[in-house]
Amino acid sequence: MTTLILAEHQDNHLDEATAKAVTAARRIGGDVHLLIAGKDCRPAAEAAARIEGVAKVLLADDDGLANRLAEPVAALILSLAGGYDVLAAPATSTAKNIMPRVAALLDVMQISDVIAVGEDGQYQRPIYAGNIIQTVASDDPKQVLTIRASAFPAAGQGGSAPIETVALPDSPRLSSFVGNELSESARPELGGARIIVSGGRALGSAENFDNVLAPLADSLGAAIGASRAAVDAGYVSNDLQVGQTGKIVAPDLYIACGISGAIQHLAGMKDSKIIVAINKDPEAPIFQIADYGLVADLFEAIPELKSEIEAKESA
Amino acid sequence: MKILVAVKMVTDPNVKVRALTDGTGPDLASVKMAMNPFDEIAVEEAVRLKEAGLATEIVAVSIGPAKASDTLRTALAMGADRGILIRADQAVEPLAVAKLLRAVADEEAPDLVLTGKQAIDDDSNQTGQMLAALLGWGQATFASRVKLGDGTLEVTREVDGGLQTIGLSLPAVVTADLRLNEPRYASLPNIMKAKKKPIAEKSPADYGVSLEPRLRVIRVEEPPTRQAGIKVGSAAELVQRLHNEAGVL
Amino acid sequence: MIHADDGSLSEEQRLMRDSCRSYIDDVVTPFIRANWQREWDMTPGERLSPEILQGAEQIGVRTLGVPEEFGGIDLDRESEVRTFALISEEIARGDSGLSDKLVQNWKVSILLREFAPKHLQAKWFPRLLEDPQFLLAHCLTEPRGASDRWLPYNVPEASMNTRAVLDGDHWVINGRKQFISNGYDASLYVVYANTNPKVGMLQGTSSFLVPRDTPGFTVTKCNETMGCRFMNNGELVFEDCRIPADHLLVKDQAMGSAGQYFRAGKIIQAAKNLGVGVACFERTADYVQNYVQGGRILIKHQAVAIRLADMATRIEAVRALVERASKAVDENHPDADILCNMAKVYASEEIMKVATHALELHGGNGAMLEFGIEKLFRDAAIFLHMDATVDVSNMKIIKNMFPKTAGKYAGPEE
Repeated sequence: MTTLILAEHQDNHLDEATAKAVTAARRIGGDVHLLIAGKDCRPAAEAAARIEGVAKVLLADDDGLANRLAEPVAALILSLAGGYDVLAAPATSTAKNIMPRVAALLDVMQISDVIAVGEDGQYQRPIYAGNIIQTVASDDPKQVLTIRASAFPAAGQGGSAPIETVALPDSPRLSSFVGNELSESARPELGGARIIVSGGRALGSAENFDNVLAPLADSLGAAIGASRAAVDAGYVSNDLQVGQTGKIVAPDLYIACGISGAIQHLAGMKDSKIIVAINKDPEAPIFQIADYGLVADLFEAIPELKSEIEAKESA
Repeated sequence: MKILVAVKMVTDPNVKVRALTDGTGPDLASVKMAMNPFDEIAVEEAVRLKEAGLATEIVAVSIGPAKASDTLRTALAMGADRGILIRADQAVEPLAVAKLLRAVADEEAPDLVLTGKQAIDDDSNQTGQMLAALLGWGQATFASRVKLGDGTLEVTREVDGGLQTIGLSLPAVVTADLRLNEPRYASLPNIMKAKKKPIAEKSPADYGVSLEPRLRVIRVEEPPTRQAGIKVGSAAELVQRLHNEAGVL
Repeated sequence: MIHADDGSLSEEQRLMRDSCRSYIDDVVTPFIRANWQREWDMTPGERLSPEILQGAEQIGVRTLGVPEEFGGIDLDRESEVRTFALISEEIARGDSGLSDKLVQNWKVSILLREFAPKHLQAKWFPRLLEDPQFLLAHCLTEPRGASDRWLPYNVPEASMNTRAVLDGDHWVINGRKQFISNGYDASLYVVYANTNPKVGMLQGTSSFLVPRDTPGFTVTKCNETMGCRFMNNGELVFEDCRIPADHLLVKDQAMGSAGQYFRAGKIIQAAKNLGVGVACFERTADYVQNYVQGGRILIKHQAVAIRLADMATRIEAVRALVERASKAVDENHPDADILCNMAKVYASEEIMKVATHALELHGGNGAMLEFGIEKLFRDAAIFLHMDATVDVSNMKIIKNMFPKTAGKYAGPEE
């Protein structure tokens, strides 16, 4: 049994989601290999080689793999698939784009968003916005999986796997990269943050996200998240959306400010360790899952909370 | 230019679905059904392309039980021209859906296939990608903007770090994300008019596709429920409790 | 349960209902949730929220009843009233005042479709279609009474006080109308007036089409009502109000022809009421499954379960009667008049009980403005009076059931 994991990385840097997927793969058993596909991505491969439990790193460094478009990366994985029983990847937007393409060409039904690996090739995955957990087993000769990173701890460091280069096979060029508009932020990234401060439409404007919510986040060293309503209203960019089809997070502390708690939002954050809800509507569904609820006006409560936290820290 | 839009009937997104107590599946008795919200966005995009004079015909296709004709009729009321219902009474896995859609695409020869990025029932997020692979076409998933040129397509995609724009040549498969557009309601007058638009009924056998599932569902269950905690009276009390009780500050 | 059984509906009816539900869930409910504490402070203008009317326009729900030849849509006539019931219930589930505002348009449009001369239809239907703010009103009730006064006595003394007199090529109207739905906002009014003082109301009442900007016609007041507050109920005064002779709809026999309006109106009334009941049930069922008292969620307390069961049972009973009555109206069954009044009066009394349970099961929260249950309670209460009181409705039932005895107008026994 050998598993190949398509690593999530930014060429010069490896994302923590990869080490989390390694943990899941090790629970399946057998050897774990990592595939780094990109352009000028040796630094990521070197970081991958240091993950504990990784037996081998495959490095595919090619112009055709820059920006990890679905078609060439899928072709690359297919060219390697013969040697593997399981093809997996953390369920990032990159892998969600690529892996079903691989599965279809292998005539395999993919298992999306695995949150637990059980005995006898059984996997658990959430359906219906996480309101139901399904346990499935595959009858296909190979398995294609995406792994929900927030459900697994990151594998440790200290490995020294060999790095082997592999070549991108020829394949028709079906799409081309035009450009990126990536968000720049000094704050922690949503997926890995220990604390998340999240805002809803009740914040009312982009300025209020910056002037009211952001100071609280910064006093806690927290990442900022948002509800779909806030993103739709244009207060923040799409990459901050927490929910069923946005980012799935499970921080130690999640502070939901002015978020009513639609099923779709809860699906993205209900595995957080501690949930705090601040909302002026006492009937908001978010209170049904919050450990601590504060019924209050956001524009009074958030600054108060910030000064209380700062007072606590300086005490 | 012809557009094929794939739509799925799912449970109403506002309904919290529960598991059957015997663990064999979700309890769907008397749960209201509706068009998958992402597919609604796909239909809207197709209709806008037609209204802009860039598309000439929109064919909506759905795979599901007889009642899925409601979903197709909604697509027709939104502006699709005709429908194809492939009758399947059991749950159909994304791989089989993609194979059926490939067969329909072979027959209809659309220039563009649009569908939602994910169905909100099984949350698989696979069908569009699989269909593109089977057709050997390019794909643009999680689309938040679609710009149609002459035989080409420029799509802005919602990715983890922000937005990515890619170019494709037609034919291609595009899957819709939330912010691609805000779908119109099927208006009451258009619902009456859609009554006259045709829906062809087909079976999977017509396309030679087997629906035999590849995954065995061992059981389904509800995750442990989170209990509502306590209401605090002030920000100060909240900070005290987060520090002393919860230990997260 | 609680909602209409899909199996009893045509595909179009299901889709229309679903479309309305999306509009209610996406647009109306959030607006109402954000504003129910402001119900008492909002100006009449604020109650006509543009986002809500725009949404209504998007689903095309303001102009039902307008015939296809004038740009509207023809619903299936054999199930038209049932469809109206279904849609008005769905909208009332979001807000009964909004439902009232919109259904008034359908009811008056049907009346115009049936009785207005073609040139008036050709003139007014397109205007109704093109302006999202265009509302219609139907003006019968007067300060000295409505059916309570007219119903028992078809004698000249009991006729309407509002009078219309033909002067050359114009009718001149004088009088007052009160408690008029949409009265404060409408652009076009159907007005009933006495045109023959020598005979009883049934033989001497005519109906007219009065545009809002007609000189001599004044909207004097917006009534502040206890419920249904998003519909602006108004008071109207006519002082030598001259309207062209061709704006006459029905001469002398207008009360009889208004039956077209009354029957569908009663069903819609009951259906809106049902919508308020469904909202009460949904909110309460959600509440009692999430709030904990004595260590267990409320629904596990038997006393709570009993009340909730009673709510559900009453809603189902009302629904059964509304469905039977709307079918009778659609099929022009001989008992249609009886059944539609039964549905109206039964809905108002039963849903009042449902709303009372909702209030009780919410405990102290039920009485608080911020929970919105008190709004549903007020909305339910107003149905006891809207479009005939309980007693007058009951009287109509008996007059129709026993036409030879109760149906005769009071006077010396023969």
